[in-house]
Amino acid sequence: MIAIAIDENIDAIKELAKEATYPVLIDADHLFSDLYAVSNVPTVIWIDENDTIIRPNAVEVGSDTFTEFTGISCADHMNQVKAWVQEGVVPEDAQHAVEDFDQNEIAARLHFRIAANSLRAGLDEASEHHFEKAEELAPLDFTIVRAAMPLRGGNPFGEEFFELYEKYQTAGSPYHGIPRQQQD
Amino acid sequence: MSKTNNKTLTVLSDHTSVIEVFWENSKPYIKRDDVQEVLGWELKTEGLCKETTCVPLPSDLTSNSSEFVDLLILTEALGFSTVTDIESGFLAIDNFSSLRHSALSERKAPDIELPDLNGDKRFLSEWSDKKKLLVAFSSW
Repeated sequence: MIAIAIDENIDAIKELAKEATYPVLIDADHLFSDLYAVSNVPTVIWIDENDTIIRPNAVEVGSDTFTEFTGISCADHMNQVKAWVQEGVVPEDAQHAVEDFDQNEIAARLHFRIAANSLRAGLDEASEHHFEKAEELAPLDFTIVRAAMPLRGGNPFGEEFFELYEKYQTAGSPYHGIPRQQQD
Repeated sequence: MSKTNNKTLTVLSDHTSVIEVFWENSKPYIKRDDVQEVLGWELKTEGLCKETTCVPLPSDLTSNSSEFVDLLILTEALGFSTVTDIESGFLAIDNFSSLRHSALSERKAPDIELPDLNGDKRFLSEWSDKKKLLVAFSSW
């Protein structure tokens, strides 16, 4: 397992990953998420020893802390992973073709990159302008909108997150990857 | 062309480059010598070249001996979309999309270099001979 933090807050990541026995990489500039079409976290991708993507982008979690909220249970996924590794069994949903980014999503990512870099350079006004543009162009992309919250002085676990999540669900939970079957 | 107000431009793509620039009519002109570093393609008389491929360019650009070239003509020739912020001196270039597109359709995992928690640079290809579970996560 390789964990990749789509995050520039290295201290927070070090804290989250302090017990990790597997490699943890830092994607502060969202290069991995842009290259692999990751639009939300956590996203899990199965890759075999020939670098073939066996099961593409899917939202899977490592514990059941948020199961009530998301309807996702982690046991199912872990059993599937075991079946793949031990018996070569691949779930049917692995056939899903991940939708590529459209022009707006691509532009959003360019604005986000400028926003994050201008923030680091102390150019607060420019930064906020580009975060706004990015949000306008990709309003339901969590790696754009939610990732920007702590950088813009907001709270990614507060009111604005719940508003984003509601908007997201109302729009049919668009995700670049295997769609989730929401449990009741 | 006269060089006025030479400034620096930070180009953000799959890597970051800080280079000299001068702006004319809101267009960034960069040094010929910096083209390869910025775009990963080399400016030759045949056009923009990478490995065995060359993309043709207007002849006034390839034959012109001026030290500075219009960067946006080059990015357009390569099909890279861009976002420019003149005042802040940033130019973001999308040189990911064609690689992402082919990776998604062919279901191939492209290699990428990222630092680990110790700050050491790692390539995903380091684990090429293993089955991998890539987990993208965050603190937000």
